[in-house]
Amino acid sequence: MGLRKMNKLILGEKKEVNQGTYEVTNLIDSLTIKEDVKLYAFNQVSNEYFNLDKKSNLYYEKIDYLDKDIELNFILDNNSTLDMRYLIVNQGDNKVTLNIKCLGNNNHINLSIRVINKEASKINLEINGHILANTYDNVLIEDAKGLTNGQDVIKICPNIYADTSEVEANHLVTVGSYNPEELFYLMSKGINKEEAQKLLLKSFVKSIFNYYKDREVINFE
Amino acid sequence: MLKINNLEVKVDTKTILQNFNLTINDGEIHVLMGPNGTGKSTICKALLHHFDYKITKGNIIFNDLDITNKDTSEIASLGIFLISQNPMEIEGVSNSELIRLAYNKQTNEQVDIFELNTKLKDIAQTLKVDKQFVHRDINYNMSGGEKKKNELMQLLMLKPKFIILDEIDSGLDIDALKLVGQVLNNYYEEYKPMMLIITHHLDFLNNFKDYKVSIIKNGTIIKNGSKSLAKLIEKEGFEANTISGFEKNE
Repeated sequence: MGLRKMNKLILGEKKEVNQGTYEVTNLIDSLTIKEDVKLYAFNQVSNEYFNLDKKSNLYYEKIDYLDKDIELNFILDNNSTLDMRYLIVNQGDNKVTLNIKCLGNNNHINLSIRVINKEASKINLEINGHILANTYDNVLIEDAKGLTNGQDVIKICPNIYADTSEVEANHLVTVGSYNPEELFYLMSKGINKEEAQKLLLKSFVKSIFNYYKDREVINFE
Repeated sequence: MLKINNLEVKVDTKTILQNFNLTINDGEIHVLMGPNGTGKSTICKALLHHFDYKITKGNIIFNDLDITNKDTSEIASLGIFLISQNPMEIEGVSNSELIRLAYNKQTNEQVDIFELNTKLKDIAQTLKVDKQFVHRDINYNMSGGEKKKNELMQLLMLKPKFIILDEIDSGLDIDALKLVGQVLNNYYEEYKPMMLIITHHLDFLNNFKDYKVSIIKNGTIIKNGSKSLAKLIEKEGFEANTISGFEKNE
């Protein structure tokens, strides 16, 4: 991402944001997105409401250390894109509800979500994609993966409610432990199991990010 | 020296290797040949104690140390290095990170990052890849040739004492095949490691001056010989030779 100029966005004070890249530093109430906006939010755990105006593009990287239930809502008008990369590190018994609603046509939504729990925590992630009747050319892709540690519970429900056949929608959900072949590969290079698992955890969460990929914001201990 | 004694290996309840005996002396190259599905890749994985491959009889002695029941990473730290046919892709973990960790583990020291990067850049030049190659994710989105070069980069950095090559020559174009052969031969000439090579191609073996050959069938060694045996196999095939009955040893 280099030396791109980035503003801090005090979202509590803003109701609308136009072109730009922002590091989110305050809790979001509701926000209207216009034109091209990139948002980066680290550990801003709260309910969020986004309205994507016509022909707007929102790229959103978000990392939450979750300790309560939250609800994230995105409403898209026409000809907009939402590309969300979201890591949830959960502690406790919590629920995340992600609602996406396409009111109009030709919206493209791509959700890449990674979920991990601390110790014996439980998380319930519900993704609801709503495509309204009489709309067309909307694309909705839900990709959610959970990596279990053996003592926790990860539940992911990807729901797509499409009231039209003029939509391309698919969802991919996997919940599982470390890939044993990847583990073997790393261990066969002399890395012990604990370190190999740490590397794979890093791989699991970082692969969805661009901005946060090379930033040491996540503690893998 | 590596000595495999009367080894039996099972995957679930199926016996893949039985009564498998093989000795590789210090500085010796040993080629294992055999039809598909006879256990060649199994021995590679069993040597590194892959969790799917259970050793139910026999033992493996490496430099007087019994490694039969050792953990994979401990075995690798002794200087045993496997390059498999299709190396694993791991997105999100860079080659340099992997090499740094493996190098630290092997040497019990924290390698200086600047020193490591300088060495890796030199190795990248030897392998005719861009210097940024070291910062790419492990084998991720790489061609067959790039993956093998990536594995060689690790090898040249970690300097193993025993190299296992499981069909390293598969999926390589002529230039990559030549480069891989040259790099391995140069390494062999400089460090004289033990090598176990699995291949179907004599062309690849021509990179090495001398080697021993063993033929495996149904999970057991049925014939030992010299490089002339490899030439015979290439000329006549496994079936003709194994059915007509080899001598147990040449």
